[in-house]
Amino acid sequence: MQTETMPRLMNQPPQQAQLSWASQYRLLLRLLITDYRSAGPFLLLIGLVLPLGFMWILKQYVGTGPDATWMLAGNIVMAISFGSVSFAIQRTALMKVEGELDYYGSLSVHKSSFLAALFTESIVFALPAMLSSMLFGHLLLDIPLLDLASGVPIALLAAASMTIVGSTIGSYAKTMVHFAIYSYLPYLAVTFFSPVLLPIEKLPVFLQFTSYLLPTGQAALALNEIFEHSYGLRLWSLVAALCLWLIFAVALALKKLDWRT
Amino acid sequence: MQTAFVIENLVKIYPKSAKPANDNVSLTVQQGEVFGLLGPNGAGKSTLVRQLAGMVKPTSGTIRLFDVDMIRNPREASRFVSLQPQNIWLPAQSMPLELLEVTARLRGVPPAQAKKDAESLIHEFGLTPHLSKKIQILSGGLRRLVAIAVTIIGGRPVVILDEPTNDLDPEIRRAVWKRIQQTSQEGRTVILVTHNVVEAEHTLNRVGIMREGKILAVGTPEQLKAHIKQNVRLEVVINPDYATAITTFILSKWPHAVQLGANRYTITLPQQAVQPAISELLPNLNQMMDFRIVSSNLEDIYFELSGGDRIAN
Repeated sequence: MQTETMPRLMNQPPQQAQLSWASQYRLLLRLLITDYRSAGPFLLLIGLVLPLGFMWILKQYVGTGPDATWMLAGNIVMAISFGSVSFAIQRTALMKVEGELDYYGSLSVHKSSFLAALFTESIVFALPAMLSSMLFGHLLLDIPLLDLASGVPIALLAAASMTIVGSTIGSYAKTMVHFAIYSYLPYLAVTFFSPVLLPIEKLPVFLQFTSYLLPTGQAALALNEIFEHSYGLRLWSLVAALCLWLIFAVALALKKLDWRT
Repeated sequence: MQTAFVIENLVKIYPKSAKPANDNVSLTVQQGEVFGLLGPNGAGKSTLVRQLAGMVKPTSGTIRLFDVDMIRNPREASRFVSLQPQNIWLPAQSMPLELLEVTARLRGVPPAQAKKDAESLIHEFGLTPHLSKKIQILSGGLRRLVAIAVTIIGGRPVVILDEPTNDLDPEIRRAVWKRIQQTSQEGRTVILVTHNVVEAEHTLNRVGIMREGKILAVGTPEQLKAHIKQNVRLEVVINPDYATAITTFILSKWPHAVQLGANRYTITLPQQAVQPAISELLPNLNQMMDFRIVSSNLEDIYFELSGGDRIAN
């Protein structure tokens, strides 16, 4: 008995229907969003309660001045980091460790549609906390609703880049230890490298530099500019920097998200 | 018959691994056949099928699927191949029907047909009582069954099933083997990785036996059996009350006898030696609980070629 020698036959590949990007996105999201089946009410409760407690402290101890505005901007970025980014890292890492990523990887879908669906699922995780932060910011700190609404695109822009990078990092998890380590990365960003709850002027020079560099810091700075009605060059530079982060994140994910060959 | 896969000199070496997981594997798989990969644990079967499904990048060699170069176009694999990996990997909070329907849709099946196909597979695999349960709370066997259905649905021309019948009860296993045969009759290629050699024998058109990353032999079960068909096995289940006496007797007469379990031995003999052996065993019949004569099957080839030890069962 021997290993076969290889005939070279010319074959016509069978015709396979291909879905549009939008259909892929919609169907993938339909599956991913099932994650909230058992956790939806808890998510809503936590999302509403946590910012309420934080805003109450803010009102009591900081008042309604520039520091309070800064903290509100920081709180929105925290909601994104601990919400969508943490969720994306942990969800992708868990998919990788448990092998679920194989299911998505084996489907004939474009990586970008999977990433978009994962981003949408992740942003849903952060939405209650983000929106209630804004609502309480309006009720307790008297920030106009229009200003708060103007901050939403900035928050989404920052969330998109960080979530997509987070998903890529998560896809490299091999064990539950990796999963745990990766889960801490957003905390590292918002508590050390860009402490978003503190006004940037009060930070050491190194941390001011890293705050300007990271999307968490850029988002907090940009939101603060909007809440302060400062629509100058600094704001647009920060928006441009966030856009660059998004381009980098998408390029990185398309090349490096580890879901199939 | 068209060729599905042509694999040439395929090598896979994982980082930090001294030995290749696949070592110069060459193989052809025809469209519409059920091809079985047999071999002991660690033989490289799962690595091979993951490369065929585009999930793992080969170190060297070529894989052509319907004449498309899968090394250069690994994404193409997902258009033609659906894989059920060894480990269960389904979205935990989804429910069987919606998962099957969405998977079919994602494989390009129109909505109405996707729903019909999903319902049909659910019925066929006896999953109807579990329709409103999340995948997460299904038993291991049921989850594997859903995974097989997910792999089959959507009409991919190549279906790869890695250990499909693990954890399944006999009745459901029969349904799975029947479905695998149907899938092949539809003109789709099925590649099976299995340890369930005896059951698989009736389903497989051809078999590849692997050990230490290499393909040792490829052929139809009949071709492979022809090499050892002169041998017959005597299987003896000993009476525990006479364990020492009968064991000593068996091992003294046939030192090559292999212990299968605590009270079970198998003796492989050439055909002409069977009659004298039975004559020697019969006077000790009271010391045995069961005694069977078994002609060689795919399992014998598996053990002979793969060098695997028979294990207790």
